[in-house]
Amino acid sequence: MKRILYICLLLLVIACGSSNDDPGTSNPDNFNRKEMLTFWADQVIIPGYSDFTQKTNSLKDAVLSFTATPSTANLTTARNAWKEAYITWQKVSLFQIGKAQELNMVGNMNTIPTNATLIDSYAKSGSYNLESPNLIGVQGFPALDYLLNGIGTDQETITFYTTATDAAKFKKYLEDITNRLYNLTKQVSDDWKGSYRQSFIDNDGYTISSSVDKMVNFYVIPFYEKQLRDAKIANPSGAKTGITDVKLVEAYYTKNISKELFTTAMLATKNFFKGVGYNGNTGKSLQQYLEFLNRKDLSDLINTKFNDIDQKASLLKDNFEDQIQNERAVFLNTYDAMQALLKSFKPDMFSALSIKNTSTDSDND
Amino acid sequence: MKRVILSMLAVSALVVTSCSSDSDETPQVVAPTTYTFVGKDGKSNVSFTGQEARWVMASELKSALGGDTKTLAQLNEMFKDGKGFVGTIPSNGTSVNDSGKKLRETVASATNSNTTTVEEEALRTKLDGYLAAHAAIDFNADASNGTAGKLETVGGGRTVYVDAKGYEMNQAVAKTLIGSVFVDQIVNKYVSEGLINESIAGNNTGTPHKDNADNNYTSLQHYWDEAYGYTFGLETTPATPVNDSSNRKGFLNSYLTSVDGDPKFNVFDEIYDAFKLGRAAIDAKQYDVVHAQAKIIRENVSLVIGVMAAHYLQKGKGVKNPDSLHALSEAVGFVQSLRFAHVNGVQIPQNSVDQSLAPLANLWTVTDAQLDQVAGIIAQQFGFNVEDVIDLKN
Repeated sequence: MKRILYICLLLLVIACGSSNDDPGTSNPDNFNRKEMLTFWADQVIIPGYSDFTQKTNSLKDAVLSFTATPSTANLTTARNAWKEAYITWQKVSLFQIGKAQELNMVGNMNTIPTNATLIDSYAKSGSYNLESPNLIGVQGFPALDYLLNGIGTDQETITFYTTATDAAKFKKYLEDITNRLYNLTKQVSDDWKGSYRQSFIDNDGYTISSSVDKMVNFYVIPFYEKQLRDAKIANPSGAKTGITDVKLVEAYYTKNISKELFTTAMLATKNFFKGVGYNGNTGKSLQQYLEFLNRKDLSDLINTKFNDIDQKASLLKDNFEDQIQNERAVFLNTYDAMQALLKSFKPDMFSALSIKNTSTDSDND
Repeated sequence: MKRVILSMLAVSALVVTSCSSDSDETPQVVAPTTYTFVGKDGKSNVSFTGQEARWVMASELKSALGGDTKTLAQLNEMFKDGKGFVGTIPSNGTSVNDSGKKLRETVASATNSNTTTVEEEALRTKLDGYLAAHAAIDFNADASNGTAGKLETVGGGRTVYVDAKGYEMNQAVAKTLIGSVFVDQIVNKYVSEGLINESIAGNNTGTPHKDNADNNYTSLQHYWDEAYGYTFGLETTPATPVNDSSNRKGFLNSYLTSVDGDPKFNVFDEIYDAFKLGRAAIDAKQYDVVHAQAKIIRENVSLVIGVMAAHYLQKGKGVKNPDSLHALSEAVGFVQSLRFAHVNGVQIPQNSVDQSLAPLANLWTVTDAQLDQVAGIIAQQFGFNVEDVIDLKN
């Protein structure tokens, strides 16, 4: 009896697991999803993460040089390496799938705002569990922004890491979060270069757990809506709430790279839709998918809206904090343009591609 | 005795609304508009204080397991001894400490369940372990995989406590109790085929429950009411439950409204109507109708457990944080509860439940693919689509 039950369960498991391998039965269309997934993996994600790994590695080297010898030159090198890595992060942050999701890359890399008070207390205590979700706000690029750019003048910063009380503890903390940033990145990159690439490509079916469905879900909601529209534009400018909070500006302590971070992420978003690879070559894309399904009207509309966002965003200035206080309408207009695009993604693109929106934001407690 | 029967018949006649059947057969019983029934003395004969007591106890135990104030001894006292509570039974205001009810001994205890004694003991011991694991948490530590402690939602809106495997014990315990106490008592005891059949004779003779003349109800009436109490007993007015997911009343009841929030499921009215019609049919001694309504209740209550299990498995996908671990801790409880739920009239077997639980051993590391797979198996058992239960509001 026990054996029969096991066999029944096994059959159920097989029945569930194999639905992706049988394209003849339930595919709503004949678009070559595998080819698109291969392009995403080989031409977009893997080269992107390779680049990002190099940049975080350089950042690690630069920070370790600075903590070994806290000089003005080493500080400048560390700040530049931080900026380069932060910009590169914008190009890969939309791939919240596989290891990147498992390791919560978005949370660990870029939780805004960073909590400077907590950083101080954790660093001074010398006891912290960076793996805890509680600590996402005290690590990653915003925390490094504070520790590299938010301490004071160059000389004050150097003093902070040399002769000030707790200098050694802050050096240790700076090293720890920099190492973690690199290690997390390398794990994601290695996973893509290992077995994950093939399973990502092979999972070319049409269920909520297939690669295309998952990528589109990540692309639209956690990335475009939450990370791009909300975190970069709406939250600091108060476009949704009416309450501005400049502390929520990305790269708050650096001041002058917020626009570049935003436009880099926006370009990555557009390139992903159009099928432009990390190094500029082209391939199968969501745009082609829509056209294949005779929905050129929708892909045209989406491209028009992308252009409209670019136009509105061209009026943004490098220093968001300043502009939010003096010229807030530019942010509100950018937000509106982004909101218009979101409506074409959700529900229009979802339904055109027969992809279920799987986001859940209600609690049933 | 004859008089008793006659008066019972008279009451039944009042309850049974006449119908336009043109035959001489017994008129078809219809459900009253509210769950209101009276005994031969003309007074309400609906009572379920024991069920209310257990609900209040489960609710307080859940709160205690959500905080950092109770010692293991205090938690055990609540769970095993039925003492240490502050709440009262809503319908009579007496302390639940004096009710004589004990949650632990009721776990997996239903008379017509096919669970073995070994299984029952194992589940009770597992729940003991959940209590111990919660009490052992360092409530000031930052939790991560392998480290028990606290987790705060971004912005500090809510603090949850998890063990080293990411289990939030108030969820795992409360949702396990929904199945192992409340659903078990409903479907495997009070509206089980066996208990109804055993109780028909006494209902036909109008014998008071436990042969105690103070009881103005028969055993069959009372069992049915107890099942009702487990379902709607914590409503503001239990006779007229309100299907409102924004104003939840009790554990199981909450999830009736959650599942019912999705138009694909109509469990709330199905269950309420079946309870009303079934009780009227008991009074009218129309046992085919009673059995049919009992079946509807068993099926729909079971479905609620299946839908919620799949829902929370889906909701727990993605990055592991206080919200997803919270959802997965609920999922653990609902999956465990499946053992007491019916599919096609049969309880889901233990090895099926164990297979589903296996990937949930560590909530920090369970993958989305595993969660999809378990949700898929449950959906297939009950015959719904996983996609339909991701968001129960549309």
